[in-house]
Amino acid sequence: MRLENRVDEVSGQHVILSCRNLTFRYEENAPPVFENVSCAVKYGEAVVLAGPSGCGKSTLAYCLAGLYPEYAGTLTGELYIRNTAVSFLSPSQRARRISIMFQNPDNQFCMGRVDHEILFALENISYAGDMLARTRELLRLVGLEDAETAPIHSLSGGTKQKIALATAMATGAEALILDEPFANVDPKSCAELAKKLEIFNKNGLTLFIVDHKLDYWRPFLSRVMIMDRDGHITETDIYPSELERRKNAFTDRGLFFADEWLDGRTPLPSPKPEESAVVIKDLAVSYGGKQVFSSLSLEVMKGTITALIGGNGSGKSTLLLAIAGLIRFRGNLGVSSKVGLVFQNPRYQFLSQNVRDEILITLKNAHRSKPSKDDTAEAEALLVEFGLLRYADASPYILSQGQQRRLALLSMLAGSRPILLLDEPTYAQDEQATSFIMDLLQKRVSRGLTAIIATHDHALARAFANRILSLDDGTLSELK
Amino acid sequence: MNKLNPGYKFLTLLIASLVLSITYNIRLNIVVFIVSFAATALTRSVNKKKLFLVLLPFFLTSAGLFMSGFLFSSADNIANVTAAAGERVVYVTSWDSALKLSSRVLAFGGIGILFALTTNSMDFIMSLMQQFRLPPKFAYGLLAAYHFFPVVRDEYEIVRSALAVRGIKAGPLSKKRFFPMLVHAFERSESIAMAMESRGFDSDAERGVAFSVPFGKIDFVFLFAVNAGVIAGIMLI
Repeated sequence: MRLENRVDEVSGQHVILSCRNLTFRYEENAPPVFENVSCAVKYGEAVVLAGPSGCGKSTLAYCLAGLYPEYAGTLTGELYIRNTAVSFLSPSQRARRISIMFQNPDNQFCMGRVDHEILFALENISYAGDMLARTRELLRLVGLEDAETAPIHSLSGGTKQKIALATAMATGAEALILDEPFANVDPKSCAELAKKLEIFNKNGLTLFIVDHKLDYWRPFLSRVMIMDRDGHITETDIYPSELERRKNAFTDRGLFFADEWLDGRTPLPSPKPEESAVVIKDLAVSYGGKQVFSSLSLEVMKGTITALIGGNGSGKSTLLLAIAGLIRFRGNLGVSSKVGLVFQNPRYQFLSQNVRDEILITLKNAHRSKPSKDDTAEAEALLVEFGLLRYADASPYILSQGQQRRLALLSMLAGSRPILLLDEPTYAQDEQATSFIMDLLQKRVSRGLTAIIATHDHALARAFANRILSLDDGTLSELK
Repeated sequence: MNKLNPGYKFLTLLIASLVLSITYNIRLNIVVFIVSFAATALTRSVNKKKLFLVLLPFFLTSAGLFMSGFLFSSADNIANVTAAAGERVVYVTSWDSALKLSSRVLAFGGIGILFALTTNSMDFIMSLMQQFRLPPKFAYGLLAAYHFFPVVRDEYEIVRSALAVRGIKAGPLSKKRFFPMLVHAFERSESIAMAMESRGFDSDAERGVAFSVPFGKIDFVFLFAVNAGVIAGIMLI
């Protein structure tokens, strides 16, 4: 089905991506994720779709990329790439027009090596020129010319996203949809990637970006759209010049606007007299055949929050694993009481089919007894405190990312572990979810919990941590 | 060895194994083993230490089968009693059946190792697709699954730590460990399928060839020469 060449009435620019009255449901009779959504993206734009976690913005991205409803759910309404209905395009025709970069850098590669992944995409579209030369050119464009033959699984999240970008470009797509591409990437790599995307955009690549943070996009975004919690697009064009003036449009919806939500927040005072909770002296750890630290020393006081800052691969997670006693080390490491650890990906921690049982398992383990009525009452009280009671009978896997992280934190806290280690507790979460989790944590710390948080977020660390330690090349240094 | 077309190499060795399986020729088995071993060891890319480690289980199995064939023979020909091992009576036929069994293990092992150590898995799958019409859907699906392994291994470690830190004891094969991994495996296969599609993968469409696996006269020569050699061996040795 071909229509006349669609041109935006106001600007006169060609529309590259558009939808009208889209309604999507995951199941036939379920309530819609979004209903009657209409939007259009013009050639060469960089549009950011912001919205709170779980509002359906990623689902919309998957629909625009032509992946839904083929892979999930039912969709009604009209969807066009340029002037062709998406459903009329085969995957290889579609890929030449539009491509997508996914949130999780691990789950988007089919081949084992960097160059093979790009060659795979070139094969798919039957690239007519010299495929090897084109592969090298694409790798150079994303700054990976030295990683041509590297095994993909050994690379960092940021590098993987660069490969994904090169692969998406390999199909010759005119438009790229990005689904929270920075969710698992450290700030340095985010900035690098954003710079590359800016250059691609300046050269004509249209970008449709789904994110709940604007930071990295602000230098070059064309406009911002906002999707509300109920799946309606309520703002379609907030232009860069209006952003400061319209910041309430973000903060009122629980979305980040720069780091303003941290204004006025300061760390709680450390309790006196000081008592140590963790004492480390000359710690040496090798992990995966590599020496991560050779002689690391650290003392953490009870009732405080310590932030560990460092890029991907600096060893933050390894240090947490060592303190939790989960990996082998040499040197002295003493803890004053039981240690809990909330992993970066909370989904690995879930054990049961529903949220209530998840807490009961921990309580049972902590009390070393059979589940009793008291436990059930305690679990319910904790679920109320953490805003999860509504989901008590739901599977942990269907919760949103923010809820999953809260549940993982709760399942650790319920075990009355006075020392809690958190690996990137605020990754990929909107402002509301982040402040919820940090407030809960701070409340527990005021009651005596000791927390060590590994994070990329300097501003967050300054607002909450009594001490900020930077881990770099296996050495710790205190940031003032 | 690694210059040969992997698909044809596989076909050659498969036929050779089938031909070999209809005979119990001890000397031929040993010759096949020695030739396979030599061909593997002489291939430049083969790690010699790995070769010996891989061979070890075959030698052990072979030795084990030899002993069982030797000591627990079903032969009942009392006239051929030759020696006594301890209290046990050993028959001439026992030597024979024991060697038949153990040399077979070595011959098949040698052929298997020759293929496994001199073939790149990706080239093999590409060759199955290009020369043997394996549908691309299966070929790339297999590759994606194969590249899963390192991630699954890391995941297994994370789940182990996650359980340990909650004070939950779970054996290495416990359901508690596999449940989260299973959920992830489902999700991962779906997202990889989506990623492949959004990179233009279309099992019904024409596709270009970036990973061309060479195929030539030498592969036919190898196919016929090896199998003619084995058949000649059956008749002559």
